[in-house]
Amino acid sequence: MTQPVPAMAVCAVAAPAPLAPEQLYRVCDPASLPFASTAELPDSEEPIGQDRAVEAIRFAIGMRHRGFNLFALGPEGTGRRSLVMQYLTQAAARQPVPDDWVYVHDFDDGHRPRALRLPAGRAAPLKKDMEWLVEELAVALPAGFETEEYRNKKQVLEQEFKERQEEAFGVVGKKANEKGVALIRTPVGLALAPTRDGEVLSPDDFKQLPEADQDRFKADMEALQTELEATVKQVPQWERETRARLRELEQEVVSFAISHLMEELTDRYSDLPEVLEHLNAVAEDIADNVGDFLESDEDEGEAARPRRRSGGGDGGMRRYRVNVLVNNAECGGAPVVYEDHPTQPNLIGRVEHFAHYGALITDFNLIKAGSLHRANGGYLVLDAHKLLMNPFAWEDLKRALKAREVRIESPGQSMGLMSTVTIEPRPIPLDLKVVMIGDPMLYYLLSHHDPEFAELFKVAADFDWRMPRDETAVMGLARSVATLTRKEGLRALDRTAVARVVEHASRQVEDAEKLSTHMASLADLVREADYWAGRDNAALVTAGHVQQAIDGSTYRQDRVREHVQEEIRRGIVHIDTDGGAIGQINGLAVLELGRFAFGRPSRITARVSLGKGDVVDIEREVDLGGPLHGKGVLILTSFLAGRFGVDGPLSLEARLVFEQSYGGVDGDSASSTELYALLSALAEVPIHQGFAVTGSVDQNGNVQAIGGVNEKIEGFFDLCVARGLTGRQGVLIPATNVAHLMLRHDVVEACRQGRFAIYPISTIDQGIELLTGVPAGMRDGKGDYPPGSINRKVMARMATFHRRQEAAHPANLGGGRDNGRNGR
Amino acid sequence: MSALLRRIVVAVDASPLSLAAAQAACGLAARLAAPVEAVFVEDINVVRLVAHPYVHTLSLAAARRQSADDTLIGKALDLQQVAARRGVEAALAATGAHGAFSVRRGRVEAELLAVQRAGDLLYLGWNGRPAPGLRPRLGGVARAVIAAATAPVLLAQGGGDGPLCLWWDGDMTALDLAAALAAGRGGTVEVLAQARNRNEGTTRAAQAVAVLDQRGVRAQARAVGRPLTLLSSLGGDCLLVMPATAAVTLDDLPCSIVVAR
Repeated sequence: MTQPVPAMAVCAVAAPAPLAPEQLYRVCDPASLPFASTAELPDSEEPIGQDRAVEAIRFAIGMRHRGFNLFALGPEGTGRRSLVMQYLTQAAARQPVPDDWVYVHDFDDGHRPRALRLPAGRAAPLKKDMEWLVEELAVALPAGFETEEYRNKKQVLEQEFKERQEEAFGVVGKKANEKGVALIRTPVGLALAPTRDGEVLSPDDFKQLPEADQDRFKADMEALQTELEATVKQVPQWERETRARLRELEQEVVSFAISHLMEELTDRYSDLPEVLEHLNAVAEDIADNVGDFLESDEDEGEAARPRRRSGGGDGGMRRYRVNVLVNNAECGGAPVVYEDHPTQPNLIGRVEHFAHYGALITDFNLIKAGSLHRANGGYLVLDAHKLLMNPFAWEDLKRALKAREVRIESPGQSMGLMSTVTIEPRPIPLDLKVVMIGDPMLYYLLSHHDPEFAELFKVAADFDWRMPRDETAVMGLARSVATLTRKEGLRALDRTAVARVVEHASRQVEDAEKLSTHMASLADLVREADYWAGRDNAALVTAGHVQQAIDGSTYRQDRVREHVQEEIRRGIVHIDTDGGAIGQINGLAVLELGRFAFGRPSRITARVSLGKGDVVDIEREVDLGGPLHGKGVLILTSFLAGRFGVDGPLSLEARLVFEQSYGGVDGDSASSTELYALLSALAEVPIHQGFAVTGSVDQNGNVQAIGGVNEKIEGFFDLCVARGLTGRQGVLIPATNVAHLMLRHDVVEACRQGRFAIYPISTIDQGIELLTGVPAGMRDGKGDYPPGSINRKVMARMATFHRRQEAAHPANLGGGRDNGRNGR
Repeated sequence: MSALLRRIVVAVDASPLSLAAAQAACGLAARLAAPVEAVFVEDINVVRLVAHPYVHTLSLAAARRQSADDTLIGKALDLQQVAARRGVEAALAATGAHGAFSVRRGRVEAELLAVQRAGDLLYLGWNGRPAPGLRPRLGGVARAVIAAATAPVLLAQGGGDGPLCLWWDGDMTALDLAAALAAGRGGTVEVLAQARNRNEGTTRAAQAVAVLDQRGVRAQARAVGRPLTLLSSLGGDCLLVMPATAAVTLDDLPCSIVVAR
């Protein structure tokens, strides 16, 4: 029910005056800017407002000791990455180009490829040289084995072996023949059998022989058997000897074919001992596996050539290749690598596989570099959030930094889950600086929960989200805008536009004495202003275009705000903007939808009844109130107890609620508002509904600063404008929030015309006087409040509650919240 | 059916080259509509070793006396025969030729000479057990049969499905056989004319080509000159028809041959 608000009768507390227009908005005077347009300004080389972060970056770059990696923390959009990249790139350009890295086959341990370090720019030529070597050998070696000389020598060796074998068996055969014994080749070996006239004697015929002949045969065959065994045993030895001689012959051919090729390479890489060692191993391996270079066609010459090793083919040739992992040939200094997708394989590298007859096969040629390899000798920049979101990436990064080496190992491999054939590339020494970019919360969480983090990231570059609004900062901002317009081909901004950008930068941080360092959003504002200037065919961007950009951006995002305002205007949501009501007040909340925030008036009501001193927060009771809101309610309870319950228990029960609120409520910015409603309900004095209130309160009744003050004021202002400004409407804000005011121009103008007002409030007493028109009242020497004052009325109501309580439940009085004396 | 090649005989002992010979023989027989007689010869000397109480056998793999199982040789012979029969049956089925498989027992050379007398062409493997990776040397049985055969003998070193070549030294028997084979195989007879010099060789080659042309067989000169020159012109896939009197060592030949008689 709306009730008239009494005119202020007794004013014991100085009522605050409405804020002057210049306190509502700090103007940036275009005349104070020493340029006509940003076209006159030089490029900005130094960042603005990030001195602390810059110093940290410089320090981290300069410190070459272990663990002095950098974590750049700050809100997104403050230019962390661009600033870090700018300084790293500058520093890297002055640093030496790091070495190239290649992987080659290890001929002693094929399972563990070797990593070779080469001076920058030497890896790619080595790869080409090895390809050239293989191509040359593919021609030179078959040619060597097709020469008549080689074929003749080989035939001689084979013939010698056959003759030796035939001769040995021939000797046994001849002896057997002389003794009438046949040496016969059977499907299961050799046999010695008694013969007559060239035919084997059957068992019956043998038995018909005289016993002496039989014995002689038996003895002869026994002797021949022994001799034959000895001969057969020698055959493998002769075979080995022949193979060895054939091999020597092959070696001669191979040595001749490859010697001049290898000499050329060893001359070229004589300054690199590791490469020479590898070339020697290659030469030995080629000599051992010369068959890999020969064609597999079963033509006439095949029998004359060394046999191809099984599993050769291209797979055999692949082991002579060079896998260039890091090629710094084109680098002008140390590398600066930004890894946009820091998965574990992208970071530490990976070993790929290919399917071969259903099996997954790999070799050192399939080793792929990670960003740690590419950044080795320089700088690696990572987004902390992305890094931590990728399984195993953070752990492997730490392992690499601690061990100072990159070891390529897939997660499956390290967890023993790999069932396919794979390789273990030898680790590569690591010498780089890692820069992680993330928000402060990540930095603090890592610091707290990961002991290795502090050990590995000893330097923090803390990016501030705001800077003091002084002349230097304003000019820095103007130069940044000038740099941006040139870089992106935008129109220059005239001084009015720059001034408006500066004012908007203050509004962004909700502080008239500060400027935002969120360059990303300011850059978007400049781009959008350029768009509107383009629509006007303007040569320069003016303040009007900037305002158009701000309004346009707001319009695109404020559909929900419109709906909220509309519901209030239509009376669906109950908010009064005139008249008075007991225990009812307009509170102000801020709703954030993505990047857009707006103020939303809410009706807060308080009801009191007989009770035990409890203040019930209905939001809290139904789990819609957050902990900070609960805290605010408890504080105001404490205020009531401290002011009105010193002499006796509070025999009341008060209930507070945000009317028509169906979502969660948090924050303590409505605690003063709730207290006003409560005091109004207790004193039974109406509150003027043309006011809206924000601010938290402490136990002593001091009003404290809150956030979102501009949006809150504008939210209520818009409602009042829609219903018609009466000149009696306004918003009570904490006095400590005055410095944060950067209100919209229409709000400032309404205040200038006296149609709307903003009141800075320091205490609850100031606020309740303004809201009710009744003085709060101060205790006199006897401890009494003046008659007619709010506090007097509240005390009286308390006393009434206490008496009723005493009458109803005399025994329970001692169990109240306070055990003091009864109220007056 | 060719008047010259009415009955084809092939000796099979289940060795790779003998099976290749069986395949080639069946192929030719199918084209000539001639029957094939496949013969497996059990060496009488080996047969007598079976269950012979006074025979010593030696394993080549182990270089020591075999175990006392005196039935091992017999079982191995049986397996060899089964493998030979299956090989022939497969070749007949693959080529569509018709023929029979028989088993003879006796001394291998004597038995093969006997069956070749009953046929018009004997197919024989170049060697029973060629060393792996090396060109097979002419085997002892093949050498003995070639020396004593009265009918043409084909010694297979491989499929022999490449060019059909004629070693031409004026021997008409070889030319006739080449013409008969060309009729069965189709294609051209390539002439290797043996001569003391190029001019003589060219003349002789032209003479052979002309004779073959008269018989309706396409022919062309492949090489002329001395035997070594002719040999170097042969590839491993050739089938060379040559007279028994050709001045060449069989061991030097890189391809399958037919010795004409």
